[in-house]
Amino acid sequence: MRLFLGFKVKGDLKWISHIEYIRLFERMFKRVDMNILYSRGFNPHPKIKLPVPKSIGIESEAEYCEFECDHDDEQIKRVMKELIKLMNKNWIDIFKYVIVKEGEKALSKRIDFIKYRFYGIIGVPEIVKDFKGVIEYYLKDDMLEMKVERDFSFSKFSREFDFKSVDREIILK
Amino acid sequence: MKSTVKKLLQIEKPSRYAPFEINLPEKDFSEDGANILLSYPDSYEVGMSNLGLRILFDIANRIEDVFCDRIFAPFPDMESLYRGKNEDFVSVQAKRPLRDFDLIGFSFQYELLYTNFLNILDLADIPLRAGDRKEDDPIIIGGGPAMFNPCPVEPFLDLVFIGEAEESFKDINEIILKSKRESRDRDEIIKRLIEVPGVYSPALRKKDEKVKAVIVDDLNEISGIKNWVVSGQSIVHDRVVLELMRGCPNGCRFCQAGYIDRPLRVRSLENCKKTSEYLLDNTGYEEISLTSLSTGDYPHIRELCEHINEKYYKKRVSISLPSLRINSDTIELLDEVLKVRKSGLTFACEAGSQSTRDAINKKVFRDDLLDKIREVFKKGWKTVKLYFMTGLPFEDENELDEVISLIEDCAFLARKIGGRRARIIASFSTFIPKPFTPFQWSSMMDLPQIKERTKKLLGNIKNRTVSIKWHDAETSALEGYMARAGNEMADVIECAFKAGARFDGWTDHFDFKKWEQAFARSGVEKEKYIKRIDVNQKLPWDFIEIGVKKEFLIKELEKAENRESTKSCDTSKCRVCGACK
Repeated sequence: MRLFLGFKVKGDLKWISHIEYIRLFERMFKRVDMNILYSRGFNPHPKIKLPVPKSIGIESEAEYCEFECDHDDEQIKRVMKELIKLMNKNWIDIFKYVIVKEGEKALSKRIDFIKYRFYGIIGVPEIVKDFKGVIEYYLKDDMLEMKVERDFSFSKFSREFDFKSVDREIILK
Repeated sequence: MKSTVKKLLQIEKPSRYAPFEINLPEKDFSEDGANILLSYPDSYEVGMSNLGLRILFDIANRIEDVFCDRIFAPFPDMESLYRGKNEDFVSVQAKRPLRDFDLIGFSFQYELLYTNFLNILDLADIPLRAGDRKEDDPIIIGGGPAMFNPCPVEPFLDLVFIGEAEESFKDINEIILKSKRESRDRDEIIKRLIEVPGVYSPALRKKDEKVKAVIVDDLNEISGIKNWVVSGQSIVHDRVVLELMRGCPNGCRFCQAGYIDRPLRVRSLENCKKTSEYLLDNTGYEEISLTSLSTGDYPHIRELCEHINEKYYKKRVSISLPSLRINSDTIELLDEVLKVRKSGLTFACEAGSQSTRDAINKKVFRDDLLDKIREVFKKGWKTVKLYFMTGLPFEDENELDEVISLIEDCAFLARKIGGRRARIIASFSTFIPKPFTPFQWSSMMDLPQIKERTKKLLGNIKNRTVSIKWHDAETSALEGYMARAGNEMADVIECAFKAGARFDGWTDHFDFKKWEQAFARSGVEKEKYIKRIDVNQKLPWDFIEIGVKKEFLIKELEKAENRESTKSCDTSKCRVCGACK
C-alpha cells in the first residue's frame, strides 16, 4: 500500500535536513507499529520518500512524503490515527493523508515545475516611502531579508532570506 | 525571533543551536521553581550522545517544580556571532540566558573540554573564577570522570561532585528548590549542597579533608530513563543505549574506568528486557547499543540479545555491542546479534608483544586473536579494526616490531580468507597515565617520542590491506599534561582560553601553539607532568577516596613490572582491592 502524507514544517523542524526527515518519519512509523516496507538490497532502506528536498531554514505550509507499507484499509486507518496523534504531540502537523491507488503516478512524477517567487520586504520604517529608498535602506543592513515563496504542484512555503547572498541576476519589475 | 533565524542562516548546521527534538518533558522555565542547566562542553552531537547527561536530565525533570535544560559548546562561527552582536547566550530548550539558571552542572568526560567550559561561562557573562562570582551568579558544579583529578579546574568551580550522580543529583535539585523557596543566599546554598554525598566546595574544603566518591549500590534500583529525547538531527551515537553493567571485571592496568567504576555491578536480565522494550517502543530507534566496559562479560548477554531479536527483528532493530572481549563465546554471540545488520568489529589488542600485554594485564593471546580473525573473515566480515596503545609502561624492547608483525599476520589472514575487499584497520592511541590506575605513577612519552613512534609505524606498515589511524600527537600530549596536574594548571587553561583555544579534542580546531604560549606565559613547565612519579610522593588527587586502596594500586604496579597477571574480579568472594564491601 502506498500513501502520501501532507505535513507542515514550522519552528525548529525547519532546520533539519532532507535525510533527517526520512529518519524521523521512520522512527515515528515504528512507534505506531506501522509495517513499513524496505528495499531488498544488501543494505535495506525504508521506502519513504520526500520527492522534492527542501532547503534548510524554510518553513512550509505543505510538504509531502510518500511511503509504502504492508497494511489493509482498516488497519491503516487505525495506524494513521495513532500516527497523527503522536506527530501532533511532537509538533509535527499532519494535515492530510491519501491512499494511492494502484497504477497511479509517484509523487515525484506529478510535479511539473517548481517556481520561486520573491515578494515583499519586511519591516521597512514608515519614513522610507519610495522604492529606491527601500532598497537603499536594506542594502545598509548586513543582511537583506526578503520573503521567498516556492511553488510546485501543491506545496507552498516561505523563509527569511539573505537576498544579497544570491549569486544571480536580479530583475526588478 | 527574526534575529535568531537571521543568525542561524549564517552558520554551519543551525540545528545544533535550534534542535528539533521529540519526547521532551512538558516543562518550562519557571521563576518560582528551581531551574537547573546541564552542560556537556562539546558540540550538540557529541553532548547528546552522552548517557550520563541524559540520565541526569531525566532525573531532574521528573522532580516537581524543577526544570532542567541543556547547553552545549558553540562552534567558532556561532561564538563570533554571539560576541559580535553582544547577544545573550541561551539554553537549548527554554532559550533563556544562562545567568537565569540557579545551578549549572558541567560534565567533564576528559580534560580537553576545559577551554570550552570556560568559553560557555564567558559567553554567559559569568565570572570565570569561583572567587569572583556574586550573589546573582548561578552556582557552577563539575562532575564526570575527569573530576577524579579536579585540581586543574577547581578554581573555576563552586562545587565538585565525585562519583556516580544518580542519587546525589536528586538531592542537589531538591536542596536548590527548597533553598530558593526559603530565599537563602548563594553561600548558604553552597554550604547546604556540600552536605550531599560526593559534593565538596574547593574553597571550603579543609586541608586533609577527604572526599568519598559516590557509588550506586544496585543498578536495578535506578529507574530507567523515562523520556529519551530523540533528536531530529543526526548525533554521534544515534541510538538507544542500555547500560548492562557498571565496572569491569578485567582490571587492565591503564584503564581509569576499570578502577573508578569498581565494584562490578550487573543489571538483572528482567530489568534489561523491560528497559530495552520501553526505550525502543518510546523512541522508534532502529538500533540499540548494549553498553558496559566489557559487554561480553555480561552473564545474560545471549538471552538478552535473543529476546531483543525475537521482539524487534521484524521492526529491523539491530543490536550493537561495543567493548567486546575476544573469546569463543563472543564469536558465537555475533551470529545471534548481527542478524539485522553487520556492524564493524573491533579487537582491542592494546599491545603487540605478550610481555607488554602481561604487564598491562590484558588477557589477549596472539594465537587466539589470529584464530578469531580467521573465523570472522570466514563468517563474511570484510573489515576488522585492531586497537593498539603505544608508549605503555614496561613495554617490550621490540614492541614496535611485534605490533607490526601482528598486524601483518592479521592482514595476511584477512586477504587470504576475505579476499581483495578485506580490510584491517589498525588504530593507535598514546598511553596517558590517569589518576587512580596502577600506572598513575608511570611516565608518558614526550611529544617528539610520540611523533617518532607514529612516523615509524606509518613507514613500516606497507601492506595495502591495512589502513592506519592514529590519535593526534599534540592533543594526546596536552591530555597527558593535564591529567595529573594540580591547581597551577588553571592559569594555563585560562590563558589558553583567552588566547582562543577551543574544541581541543577536535584536530581541525586544535591549536597547540596557543597552549605552548599559555604554558610559557603562566610559567608552568609542561614536561614535568609526564615524568615518572615516586610512589611515596603526595598526589594532587589523594584527598579523593574511590574505595580501591592505594596499596592495591602499588601492588598492581609491582606486578606489572614482573609481568604478573591479576585474576578477573569475582565480587562474591574477592575483597582484595577494597572496592567491594
